[in-house]
Amino acid sequence: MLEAKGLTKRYGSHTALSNLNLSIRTGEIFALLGQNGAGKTTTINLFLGFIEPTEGSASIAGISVAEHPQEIKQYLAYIPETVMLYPNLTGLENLEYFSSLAGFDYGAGELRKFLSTAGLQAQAFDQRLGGYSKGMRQKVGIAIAVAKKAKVLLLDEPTSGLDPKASNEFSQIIQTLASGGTAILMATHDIFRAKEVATRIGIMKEGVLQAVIDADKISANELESLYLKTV
Amino acid sequence: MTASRKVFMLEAKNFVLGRTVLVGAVALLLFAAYGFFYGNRLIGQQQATIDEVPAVQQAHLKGIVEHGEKATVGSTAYYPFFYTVNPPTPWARFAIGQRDVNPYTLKVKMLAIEGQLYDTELTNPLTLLVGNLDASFVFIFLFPLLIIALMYNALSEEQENGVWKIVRTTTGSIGQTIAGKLAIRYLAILLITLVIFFLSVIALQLPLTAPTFQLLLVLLAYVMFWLMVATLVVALGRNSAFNATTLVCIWIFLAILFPGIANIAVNNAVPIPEAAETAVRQREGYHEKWDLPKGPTMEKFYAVYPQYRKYPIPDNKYSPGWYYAMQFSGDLESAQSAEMLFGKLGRRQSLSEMIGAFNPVITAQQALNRIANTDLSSQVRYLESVKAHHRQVREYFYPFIFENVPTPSIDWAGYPDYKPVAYEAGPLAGSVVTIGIWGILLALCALFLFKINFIQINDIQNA
Repeated sequence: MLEAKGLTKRYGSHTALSNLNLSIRTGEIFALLGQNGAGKTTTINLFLGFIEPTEGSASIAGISVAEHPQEIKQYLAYIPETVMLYPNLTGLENLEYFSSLAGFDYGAGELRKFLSTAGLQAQAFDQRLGGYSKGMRQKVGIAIAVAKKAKVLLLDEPTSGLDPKASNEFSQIIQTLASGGTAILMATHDIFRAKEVATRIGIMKEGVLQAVIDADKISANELESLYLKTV
Repeated sequence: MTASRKVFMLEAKNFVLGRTVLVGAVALLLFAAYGFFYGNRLIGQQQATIDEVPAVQQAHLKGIVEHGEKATVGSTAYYPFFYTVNPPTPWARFAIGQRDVNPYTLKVKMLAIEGQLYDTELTNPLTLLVGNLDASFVFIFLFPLLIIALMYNALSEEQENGVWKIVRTTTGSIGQTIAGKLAIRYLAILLITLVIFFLSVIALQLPLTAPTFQLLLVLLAYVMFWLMVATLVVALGRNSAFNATTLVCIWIFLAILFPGIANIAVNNAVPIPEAAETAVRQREGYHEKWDLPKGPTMEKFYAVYPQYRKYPIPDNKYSPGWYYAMQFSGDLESAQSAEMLFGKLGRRQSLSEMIGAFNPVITAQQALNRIANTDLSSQVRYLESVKAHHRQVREYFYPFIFENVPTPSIDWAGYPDYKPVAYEAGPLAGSVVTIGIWGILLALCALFLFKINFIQINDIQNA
């Protein structure tokens, strides 16, 4: 579903991402670990089509992101580190706005169902987003992805700043999405969350993907040791 | 409701519920309310004074005639003032223009006119410094600030808080989405413009005739110009702080610095020493006649009024006929500089309008003043009407003066009535077209910049 072939991004003499070769299948959760500046966000931005690759290609569902930036949008949803959305609208209205922006015309019942699926408590649906916690806003972000029927979910540090309970809920939700056939690429600093939720884990350093490990073949401690040794 | 309409309605709701709209609109309404009060008060006071003029004139003449009962018209005619008024148009309450610094009533004697034209009341210098906070001030100077407040973060705020990336990955057309976000702001600002304008129509009792709609037309063009200025800055794709700073700098330049510099430039390009020179020449013109033989003075007078040649003027003593002829010759001697003065005032106006073509703030203000007949041209028309009336008055009394008629024998109120200048609709299309051209140029530049900075992404900030 997601594929990078020799994907490279340079800014002048600085190489942000070097020769990334990666393939993420339907239903798979791929966690990218690495320090700040390792190239995780650059990878996500290249898949989103926000920046053009210097070399190589990124494709979603076999469609080149660089050549068809508009077309690939129907397949993907993106959740940044901090989902701000529109503070003057309620959670329900935010979902209605973004699903309508994507061209879907849902009724209120369907929208409430999406929010429930994302784990948002019903009493929060009609409250202004300005009063939401970060975890609640992330759930609205997930509801947007669900409503959009996204085949690919790109997450940039999604659990950063979430309390353990909210982080755990978030993990469960994206696992549910993956089991429904969504391919997920998640950039994170959180080794233990990556081990818990991901199918495969990649460790990046200075723009290079150093190692790719199957999550079920390594313990959390081993992953931490490998990570510290690699970065 | 279609998906696109839902997006529009929710976008509008999010925008309107933001505090900036409410605070900005309320602040502007308060300023507008004061502007209406100020316009009504100032022009109301002027109108009240003007309304009293006929009674004052009548009482004044009555007193003069009673006092001069035993004298001839020639002696008594020295004393009365003849009042003229420049009534405000209904639109002067909206755009006071120069009505607060120029005289709106002038009382002239039958003496030489030129010196009397420039006898104006002293004006409070603090008022001159601050300017008038009338309705036109609210629209011309304060409205751009509201536009800046509502536009500066149109896209940058979403980029800064991260929602823009979600919008970008969700929308089917980023161009359409940007257009929608801007359109909501345009509509909100245009709505506030219309509301405040219609409130001004009610509060200032503007008649629903062509000039009122011309005011609205100029204001809509002007507001569109500022919307395009703000759109252009938004299209640069920089952060909110940069946008706000840039827009405020543009406002300071266009609304304060440019007009100040233009004023200095116009004054330097067209100096007017004639105003003082005219008064001096006219005074010298008749004062020196006291010591000169009366013949040449009278010949100048007879050249214009040959019918009075038949009345004898003694060369060795004072006579009223000679006195008024001497006053008249003072005007004749200052006529050239007076003509130059009015010509130069016209040139200043033309030059100001030419410079205004490079600054829609000046163009719009000039257009509003022109519609309200409160500009320099209107004042010049008034001064010319005063001159004409002065001539009518003189010519009414000349026969009685030369014939040495006793004061009580004539109808002192029989001189022709003063006819105030009528409303003159100045050319307006040029102003609207000028503002419109600026708006279109800015819009085209903004479109180009949006394409570079938002549609074809080069900068991750705008992605």
